[in-house]
Order: sequence, then C-alpha cells, then structure tokens
Amino acid sequence: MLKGLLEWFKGLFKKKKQLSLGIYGSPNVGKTTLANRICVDLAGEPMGAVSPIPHETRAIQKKENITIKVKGLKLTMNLLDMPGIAVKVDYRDFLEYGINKEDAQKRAREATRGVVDAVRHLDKVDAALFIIDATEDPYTQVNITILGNIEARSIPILIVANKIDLPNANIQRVREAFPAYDCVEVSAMTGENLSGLYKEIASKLS
Amino acid sequence: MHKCARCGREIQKLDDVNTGCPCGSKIFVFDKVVALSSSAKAIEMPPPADTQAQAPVEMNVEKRAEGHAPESYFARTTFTTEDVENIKIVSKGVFLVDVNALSKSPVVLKDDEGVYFVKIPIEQGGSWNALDEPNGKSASEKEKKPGE
Repeated sequence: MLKGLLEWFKGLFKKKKQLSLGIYGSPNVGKTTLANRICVDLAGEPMGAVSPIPHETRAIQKKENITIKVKGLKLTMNLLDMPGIAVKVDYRDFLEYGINKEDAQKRAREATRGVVDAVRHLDKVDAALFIIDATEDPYTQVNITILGNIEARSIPILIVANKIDLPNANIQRVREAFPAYDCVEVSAMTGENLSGLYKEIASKLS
Repeated sequence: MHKCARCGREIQKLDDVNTGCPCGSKIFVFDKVVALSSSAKAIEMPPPADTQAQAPVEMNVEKRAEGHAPESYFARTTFTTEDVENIKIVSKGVFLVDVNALSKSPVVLKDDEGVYFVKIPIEQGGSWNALDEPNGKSASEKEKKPGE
C-alpha cells in the first residue's frame, strides 16, 4: 500500500531534502481525517482532532520530520493540515452545534485568521493535495479560486475526491468539474483506495 | 430647478414633473445655475407614497445592530493585533481600511461580531498585490480552459 507513496517521496527527495505537503480544501471536506491517515501510516500517530463542526482546524497543523527510509535513503517531509478555506465565516453557523454565542464568535474570529494563514501559506508549500467532498457540488468559489492560485505558483496539485463511502458521492462530477487536474477518489474515513491515492501521487510527482 | 420647456414656468413640486405643466407640456429642462444659487428655493420633496416601504430598512438596521461589535470597537481608528479583518465598517457608509495588511493578505471584511467575508485574490507572479488577471480572465475561465 505504501509502495507508491514511498516511490513518490523518493522522487521528491532527489530534488529537495525536506518538502512541505499542504492539504487544502473547504471546511469539513475531510482534510484532517486524511492527514491523520497519512500520519498514522508514516509516523504511527494521528495529527489532529476531527469534528463535524465546521472550522475545527483553525490553525495550520504541522507534522514535522515525518521520516521514512527507502533503500538506504532517508526521506523527511513536513505535512501541513490547513484550516478550511471559506469566503464567509458566520458565528451563527456554529450555534446549531450547541456552542454559545460568545464562543461561536471567538471561533469565527479564529477560523477567519486560519483562512488568511492558509491562503498566505500557499507560498510555502512544495506540493498540494486539494480535497473535495464528493457528495457536494464541486463548482464553488473556494475550489476554483484556490486551485487557480495553486496552479499559478506551479505547485504540483492532486485533487482528492473524498467521502466516496457515502451513497450520494459523485466522483464523476468532481472529475468533470476540474478535468485539467489529476483526481483520485478516496474515503479518508474508511481508508478506501488510499493505495490508489499513493499510486497516483507517485505517478504524478516522481 | 426644473422649468417647463414650453412656457418657462418654474416647477415647485416634483409631482408636477409627473403630472405635467398646466400649459400642457410634459417636457422640462433642469437649470443647474438656478438650482445651485442660494436664492433658489428647495423643491419640496413629496412624502413617500408608501411609508411602509421604508420600514424594512429601519428594521434591518436595528436587527444588524443586535449582532454588532461593542461600540468601543467601532470607536477605534486603528487596527490591533487582535483584529483578523483588514476592513471594518466604522459606521453606516464609513469604512476603515488597513492598507498595510491588504498588501499582504486576502481582503477580510468584518460585518457583525463573528461575521467575516473573505476575498481570496487571484495570485500571479507570487504577489498578492495582483488581485486580477491582466487580461481580465477570471479564475473560473482559467479553470475551464485546459479541459475545453
């Protein structure tokens, strides 16, 4: 399962000793769940907490020095789980989850700061996984704008259509929305097709 | 000041423009010089036809005020490190802009307390200052291009 990923890291290692892989996407698309999967695979421990409440990750989570060894080569990377990017953050969206008004407003402020940090951090990542919820309409302002920004920086991108374990997932819709990019479907929750993700990454970037 | 184009009669009420001049003409000319002179009388504005029409606006203002930040926030004329936004609404129609932050960050407008709007710029050449494509193409157009 890890063979493809290891090959990809090996290819990147030839170019740069330590790379930063950023995980981008809208809130609640499964970025942290996927980051946890990768971290467990490579470092044996998860990265951060997941929650059904939007904007659970409000600061960039960084797993530094994830190291693997391939045929005598020592490969090190930093994995960056980015806050969900949104064009509007409204504290009232959090109230329905039982959060009181004051805490919701604080959460909104932190989430907005996270959005700014994530966008500004585009200048610092070497490669990006762009996560899209396959059960949702992919034609969103955030998806289009962030993908455009990543491409403008010539950062290697791989679109990850997540949540394929859900019955209303529509992978074809994601592929048709962004035909210019490679896309791989996974379920970060169940681990379905993670091997496919690694293989796709390897073939694209190695 | 509006004058009848036929007889030169000065119009005192805006309603007369709608109903027409007593001479039968419905064509009027606006005399800017007379209108701006201090001796010119202000034209009497007709009352709103439907007083209820303005009520929702007032209600919206009051409704918005409920969720607004404390007055101390709007009294500030500078940004602090606590502020996430780089544009804030000081009062109705009055904005405070953190120009320095705008050169480095996405545009963040704070509406109510806990309500933010973010405009993510389209980057080109590694500079956040370039908010728009030089050729006017949007991100969505750019997105569709390779797949066409």
